[in-house]
Amino acid sequence: MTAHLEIISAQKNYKNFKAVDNVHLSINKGEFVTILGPSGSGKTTLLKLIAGFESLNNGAILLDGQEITKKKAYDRNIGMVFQNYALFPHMTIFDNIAYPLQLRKVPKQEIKEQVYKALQMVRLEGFDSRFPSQLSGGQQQRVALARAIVFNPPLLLLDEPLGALDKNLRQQMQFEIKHIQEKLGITTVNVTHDQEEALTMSDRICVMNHGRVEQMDTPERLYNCPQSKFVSSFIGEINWFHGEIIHSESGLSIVKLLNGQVVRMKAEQTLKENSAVLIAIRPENIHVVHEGSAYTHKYHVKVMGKTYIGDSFRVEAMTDTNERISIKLPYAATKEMAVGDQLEVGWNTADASLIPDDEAKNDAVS
Amino acid sequence: MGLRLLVIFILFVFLLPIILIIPLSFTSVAYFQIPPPGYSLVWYEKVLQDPVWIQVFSRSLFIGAITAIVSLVVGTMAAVAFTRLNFWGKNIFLPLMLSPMVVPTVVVAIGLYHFFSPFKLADTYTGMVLSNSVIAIPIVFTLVIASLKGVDRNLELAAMGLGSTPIGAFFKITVPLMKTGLFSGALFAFSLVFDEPIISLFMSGANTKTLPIKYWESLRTSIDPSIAVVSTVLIIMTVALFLIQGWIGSNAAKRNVRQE
Repeated sequence: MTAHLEIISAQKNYKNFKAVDNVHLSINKGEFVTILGPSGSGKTTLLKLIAGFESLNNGAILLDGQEITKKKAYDRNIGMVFQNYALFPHMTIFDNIAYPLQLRKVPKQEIKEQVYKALQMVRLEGFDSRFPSQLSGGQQQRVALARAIVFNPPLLLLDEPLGALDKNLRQQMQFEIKHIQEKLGITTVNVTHDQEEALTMSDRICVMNHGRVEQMDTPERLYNCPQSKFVSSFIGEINWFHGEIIHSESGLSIVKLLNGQVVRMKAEQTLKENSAVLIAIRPENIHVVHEGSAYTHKYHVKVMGKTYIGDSFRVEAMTDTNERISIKLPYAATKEMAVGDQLEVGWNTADASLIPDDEAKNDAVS
Repeated sequence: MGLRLLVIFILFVFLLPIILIIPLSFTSVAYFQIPPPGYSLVWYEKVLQDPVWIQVFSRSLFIGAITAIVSLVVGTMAAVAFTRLNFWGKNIFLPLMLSPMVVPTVVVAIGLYHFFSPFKLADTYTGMVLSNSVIAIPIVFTLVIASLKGVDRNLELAAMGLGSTPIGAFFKITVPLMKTGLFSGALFAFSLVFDEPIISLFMSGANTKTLPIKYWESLRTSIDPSIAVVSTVLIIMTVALFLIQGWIGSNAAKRNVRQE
């Protein structure tokens, strides 16, 4: 499959601030991609660059193989849903949705058909003569979506579309947007800082930080095999064991941990010998060691506290080498556990990922 | 209760002099007396049959309308540039735009007179429109800036994203959303021609006399209830215009109220 939307070494500076820094993105036709990042990571700027509301300092944007870098926003034919919906308050719902069609000089009868079809798709039949202010947040959101897809754009952009909705409504809308997106097969770029939204809706997620792409992968890969310290901590909870590469060849690395243990792990990226690394493990992948259970690595830890988190307990513990870890354990396993207890925990290298420790690198430089 | 009485008292003091004019215009005698000894429409008849009053009044309507259009267009353009664009010298743009409002009108009037005379603009309609616009533009500018700030920039971006040119988005989206401000601005510019005497005193002549000047002249030469008649007409006109403005404003406000 050839890329539908392609961003090539995109650069956007505001004075000396690099909002988007050498970003490459390649998105397939019909794909739902979420750009995920904290505020100030450049995700919204990247979306504005695609929409044409901001212009690139360097690089190119291609849509359907055509370069659109220099095209004005109104010539790009891209549908967009804004964070606050940006419905025109002085127009009825019908006129709001008809607006892009009127601009394209679509005949009146056809406009009518298209608008009613779009209203039906977002399940808002009968709302056509109301004004935006007479609608709830979720309904306004649907109108904004209908307006963005009514002219059959090749690309749909969503700028934190669910930010203003409460939790239940947000989950419902996630499902509905995803459903409509799949039905239309429209290539979609969504921007959010909500990791849960990103994980549930996307085919692939692009994690951004400081204007750069940290990692672009499927939700599963992003969660299970994070490639950087930032990605591992931004999505879900993570434990880090500090270590150092003592040998590395052909994708296999040997890491020496702080407690002297040696771990042999597959590494996705080439890591230099003697460089500082982290072994990242999710809290649910650390288990209490029972007799007969085989783990590639075991630790003695001291329980520092436990917190009830609904379906399970989160146990905070301290290793011999003073590394604080968090373990997710079922209720039964924690029943007899008290603060100060010694515990033996274990994990498997298959559940861990090896990532460079960029902060340690920075320390070494300075 | 005490506050309510105070408000009524203040309204009474403010409005009484204006309201008193109305019965005076219906008087049957040739002098001002309250209450009038008798009521009639003679003074209305006299004003309506006086070609000078009619001419001055319709001329004022005309100059007022043109002034309103000119200052609305220029003031709005300046306001849009100021709120939406970044340009060199933006910091001194605002004080320069507002200076005619701050400098005493007499000073502005003298300046305008000396500036316009070499161009033969004194005692012309063009001169009258331009000089009244000088006073009106800063006010239109301020009013439009205030209402532009109330229009979400994302609405214009959304319109452009949907395929509209920036100009198209401005007229289809921005203008309807700030029409209350635009109408207030136009109303102000229009009424300026009816009640601002200083500028007109310098700029007008026999051919361009407007109401404030005619008022001034008739007060000096012959005080008779004609002036009360013209005043009453003006009061009714102003009240009507403000009612229209209020109606436009409340329609806009109704739509912006969230009903969640």
